[in-house]
Parts: sequence; C-alpha cells; structure tokens
Amino acid sequence: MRVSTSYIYEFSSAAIQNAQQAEVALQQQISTGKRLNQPSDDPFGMYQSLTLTSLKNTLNQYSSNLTYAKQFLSESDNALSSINDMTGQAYQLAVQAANSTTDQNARMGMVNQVTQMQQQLLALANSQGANGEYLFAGQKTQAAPFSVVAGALTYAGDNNNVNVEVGPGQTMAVNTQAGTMFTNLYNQLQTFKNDLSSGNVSALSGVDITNLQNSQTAILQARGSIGGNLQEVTSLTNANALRTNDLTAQISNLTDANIAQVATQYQSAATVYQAAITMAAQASTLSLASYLQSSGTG
Amino acid sequence: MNSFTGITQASQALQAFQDALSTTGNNISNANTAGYSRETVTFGQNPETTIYSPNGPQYVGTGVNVASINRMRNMFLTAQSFSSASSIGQTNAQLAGGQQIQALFTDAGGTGISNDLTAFYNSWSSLASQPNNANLQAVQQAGSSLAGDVRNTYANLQQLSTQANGQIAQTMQQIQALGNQIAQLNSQIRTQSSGGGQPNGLLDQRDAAVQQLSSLVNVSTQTLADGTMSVNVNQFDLVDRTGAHTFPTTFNAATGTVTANGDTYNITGGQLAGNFATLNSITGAQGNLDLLANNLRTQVNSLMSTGKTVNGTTNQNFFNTSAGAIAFDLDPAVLADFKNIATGVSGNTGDTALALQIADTATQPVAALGNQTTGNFYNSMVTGVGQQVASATSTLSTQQAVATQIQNQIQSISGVSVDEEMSHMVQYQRSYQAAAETLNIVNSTLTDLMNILH
Repeated sequence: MRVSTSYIYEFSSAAIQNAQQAEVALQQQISTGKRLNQPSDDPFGMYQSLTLTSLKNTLNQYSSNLTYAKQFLSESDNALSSINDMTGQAYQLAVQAANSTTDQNARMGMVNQVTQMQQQLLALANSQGANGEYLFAGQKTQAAPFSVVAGALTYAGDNNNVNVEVGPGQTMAVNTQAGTMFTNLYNQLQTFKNDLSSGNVSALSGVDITNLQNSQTAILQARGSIGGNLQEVTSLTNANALRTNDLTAQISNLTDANIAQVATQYQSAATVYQAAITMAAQASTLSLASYLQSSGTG
Repeated sequence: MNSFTGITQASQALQAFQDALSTTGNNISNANTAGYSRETVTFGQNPETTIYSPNGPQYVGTGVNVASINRMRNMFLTAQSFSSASSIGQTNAQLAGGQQIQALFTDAGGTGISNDLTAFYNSWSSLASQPNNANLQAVQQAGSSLAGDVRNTYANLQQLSTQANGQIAQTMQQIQALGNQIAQLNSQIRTQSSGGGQPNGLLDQRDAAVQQLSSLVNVSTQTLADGTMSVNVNQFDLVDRTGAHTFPTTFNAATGTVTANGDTYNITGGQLAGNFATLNSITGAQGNLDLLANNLRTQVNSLMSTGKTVNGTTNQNFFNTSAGAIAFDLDPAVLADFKNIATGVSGNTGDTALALQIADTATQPVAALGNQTTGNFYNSMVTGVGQQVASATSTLSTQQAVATQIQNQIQSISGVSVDEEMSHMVQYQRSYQAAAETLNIVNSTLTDLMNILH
C-alpha cells in the first residue's frame, strides 16, 4: 500500500488519542472508587444496583419500625407487670380478709389500701409512650382512655389494633386490648372494698378471691402475648441485619471498582501510551529531505 | 525538420520538465491541505516529422509535451467516504445528545429520583408505624423532595429541548450555506472545464464541501456531463444545474422528516438525523416524567382523600392536581401544614390504615406504567437512557474504525508522500539539467554552423 506523509502522522496521532482515552476512563474509576459512574457504564448493572439499594433502604425502614414496636411492647409490658404485682397484693389481702381470725378493724384498715390500688390502676391504665401516645386506648391514642364515672371505671378508647409495618405487606399489632380487663379489675376491687366494709366473709372467700385470680390470669396471658411478639421482633430484626449485609455486598460488587484490578489495567494503559508517544517522536525524524544533498550545478 | 528543430525540442523539454517540477512543488506545498488530491504529470510525445532517407521516409520525434495533469482520486472511495461521514455525523450527534440527557439523571451517585421514591414510600411506612408529628413532617419533606426533583429534571429537559431545537436550526443553516457553496463551485467548474481541462483545485474544494455536507445530512451525488455535481437529500434537490435551492426548515422530529411546499422528505443520516433523534429522546423522557407524576398523584391522592386528619379535615389531596411533571408539587394545604396529612379515615391518631396502604403502593404494579411499580418504571427509564449512550458509543467506535480504513485507502491513492515527491523532484531536476545541456550543445553546433558561414 502506498503510504502518504499525512497517513504516518494521522496514524500515530490516532494511536496516542486511543491510548489516552483508555487511560482517562481507568483514572475515573480509580479516583471515584466506582465502576458505575454513569448509567452507560453498565446499564443492566445500574438497574440491578438501583433495585437492590431500594430494597436495602426499605429493610432499614422496617428495622426502624421494629425498634418502635419493641419500645411500645416493652412499655406496655412494664405497665402490665406493675398491675400484675398490685393484683397479687390484692389477692393476698383478700385471702387474709377472708380468714376468720382477722377482725373487722383489720378489714376496715384494708379499705384504704384497696382505694390506693384503684388509683394506681387508673394511672397505669392511662400509661403513655415516648410520643405521648396512650398505650391502652386502641387507636384513640391521643386521649386518656380510662376515667372513673360514678365509682366505676369507664373505657373511652376503641378496640382497634395499633399496627406497625414489620415487613413487606406484613404488620404486627403492638397494643394490648385492655379495656375489658382493666374495667373488670377496677370493679372487682370496688366490690372487694364493699365486702371489706360490710365484713362479708363468705363473699370475700368466694367471689372476690376467684375474681382476683381470674384477673391475674388475664394479665399473665396478655404479658405472654407481648412476650411472643417481642421474640418475633428480635427474630425479624436479626433476619433484616443478615439480609442487609448480603445486599450491601451485592451492591458493592456491582458498583465499586476492583481497585487492584483497575490499577493493574491503568499501568498497562500508561505503558501503551508511553509507547505510542515514543513511536510518534521517532517516526517523525525520518525523511528523504535529510538525506538529499542540495545539488547545484553539475 | 529544420535547423532550429533541436532548439525547439530542447526548449519544449525544458518547459515540460518545468511544469512537472511545478506540479511536484504544488503537491509538496499541499501535503497538509485537507482533501487535497495529489497530481501526477503524464508526458506525451510530440507528433513526429519525416526525414528523407534512401530507405524510405524515416520518422523523427519532435519532443515532449505535457499530455495531462491527472488528479489522483478514486470516485468509489470518495462516495464511501461521504456515506461514512453521514453515519458518523448521525451517531456523534446522538451520542452527544444522549450524554447530555444522561447527565440529568444523578442516580448513579446515590441521589436522584430513584432514591427519592424509596425514601417517600418509606416515610409513609414510618408514619404508619409511629404516627407522630416528626413522621408527619418527614412525609411532607419526602414528598416535597420527590416532587421537586421530578419538576427540576423536567425543567432541565425543557432547556435541553430548546438547545436541541437551536441545534437543528443551526445545522439547517450550515446545510444551506454548504449547498450555496457547492452551487458556486459548480458554476466555476463548468466554466473552467468547458475548455477541456480539469480544474483540480476546484474539484478538491467541491469534494471537501460535499464531505462536510454529508456529515450534516445524508446526500447522494451525481456528476453531470457539463461538470455540475447535483446533490440531493432523499429526493430533495439541494443543488442542481440551476443552482442551490432553499433547504426546508419545517421539520417533524418524530417522523424524521422535513417539509416544503406540501412535500415531505426523509432525513436518514448525518448530524441532522442525530439531532432529530436527540429531540425525540428528550420528548420521550419528558413524557415518562409526566406519566410518573400523574400516576403518583393517582396512587396517593385516591387513598389520602378518603381519610380524615386529626384536625377533622377531609377530602384532602396529598399532591396537587395540575397535569404532568412541569408543576408537580404537594397540595398547598399539605405544603403549608403537615397536620393536613391524613393517616386514616377515623381521625384518631393511632388509625394509620391509609398510611399503610399508601406505603404498600410501592410494590403495586401500575397498568399505565407498563405493569411496573413506580420505582421500577423510573429505574427502567434511567437504564434505557444509559443503554442508548452505551450503544451509540459502541456504534461510533465501529463506524470510526471503518472511516479510518476508508481514509487510509484514500490516502494511499490521493495522499502526498513527501519522500516520493522529493524523488520526483530529483528526477525532473536531472531531466531539466539534461535538457538544458542538450540546448547548450545544440546552441554550440549552431554557433559552429554560424562560424563556418562567417
């Protein structure tokens, strides 16, 4: 093939250009640490990385929701624990009061204790969480659900669930439906008080003790349910953590540059560039003109 | 044959070799001129005369002439070069446009509408699980960020669209200017070649103009007998015998056509075709953002408007109800006060059934979005833009390799090799010296003759 002068220069110029372009692309990867700097770097990889990132962020949200669920459940459990202790004490009192060796004066003394217990119950029944939300009000968490009307405890909350989203389309009811349980207990304490005042020993040893026992059972059941939910929360939280680690690794594989590999490639690109410019410099020194002696006459 | 034939012969040789040296010198001077086709000289013998000889008339040559100065150019390669320029012009314009569009979507860096969408749905999940003021505000802010980014991206695309239209107008102006230039060259070439010779310089200039024109729009050319080169763009006559015509400026990017006097012509190559493709991509991306905004409105508003806020407000939309992405934003009431966000139908703080439903729309496929979730729809769009750029880059690479091959072949035929020209110069110089010496000797023989007659 006939070689023209400009062909020589264009050829080496193109070689230098190509070598430079390869170098620059690798430089970008090294300096950003990413192999995906724009969608065109790897369109399909980009799609996957976006999907996985979205999934990871959503898992983080569920974990955050689970933290709140645990908080709500624990706070509810604390209140129930105190009420349970109090109910236990009332039961002890009832047993003592029912005993024929106890005199009526002693029974009259117990009335005050029971009144205090009723007040304690009211306060605990209206327990609030960290946001000021009432724990035992169903969904009407904005107002105190329990109040005393004409000597009886009334419940103004509703019977709906407070739901927390713990997974995709998955919810957990974190509240305890305590309307009936607490109103019953309060009224049982009221009856107990009346029986103490009137010295009705048969009622004390029969109905009252049984009622208090039943209330305790109900409370323990509620606590058991909370315990189950708390276990579920722990298990879900752990699963999320594992999954999140997995996703982080997958995303990193897609988006992060393998620095060692890229550095090696960069070295060889730099070498190619070096060779291209050296060759260009040498080729340009050859010319017939430098060999022709100026021929004058003869 | 007369006494002075020798002188005539020698001086004609001197002239011929002088012309050859000029041609060689011209080649060397133009070694770096783009589009220059080297010229070679073909010598011819002058007609012979007869002399008397006992053996019958003998023929004696009367010297050398310059038969032709040839322009070394392969028409077939030239046509390939035009076609390759069109392809590259088109791909280049598409690639540049595609890269500009791609730069508007910042998702590769971790921020952008994809992230906004996920954050938006997650904020509803947070609100559904823990309904407090902080989470109401978070939903308001997430919604505002999302709407803002959609709106801004749309506005940026609008700017690109204006630029693209400007680019198209500019390209058309350049096409017109080149058409006019070619027409002018045509008339000069016609004049000069009517005498029989080839005006090589003008021919080179015309080829260069057509090459430039090819990179702007797909052309086909035809050289007519009188030297005119007619140029047309898919049946539109840009240049013909009568001169240059006005290139149509009315265009339809969607169909890739230009229209004039009721006739439609296809634009199938060159920068203009690439510009049309870019404009189409911009319009497509804007359309997708409109779809996204409208479907987000439908998804969220249809649910939230059935709810009641803690303050008792009902029938409250989350997003505003204008059309498309251009003015996509939160409803003014929600922008003003996050307490206007309803989480349930009862108005109770703990009632978050609607908020939960809204959070769950993240995973619901939408028919109008090709049965994809809003997140996947957007991710597909970004991927599509990236795919266009990647494939244009790869196509360009291939086309450039082909163009290089064609250029090399053209160079091989038409390119000046300075070394080669220098060796020709030595050749012609020596020949000139020899002819001059011949003249010298003929002169001295005549002098001898004169001296005899003295």
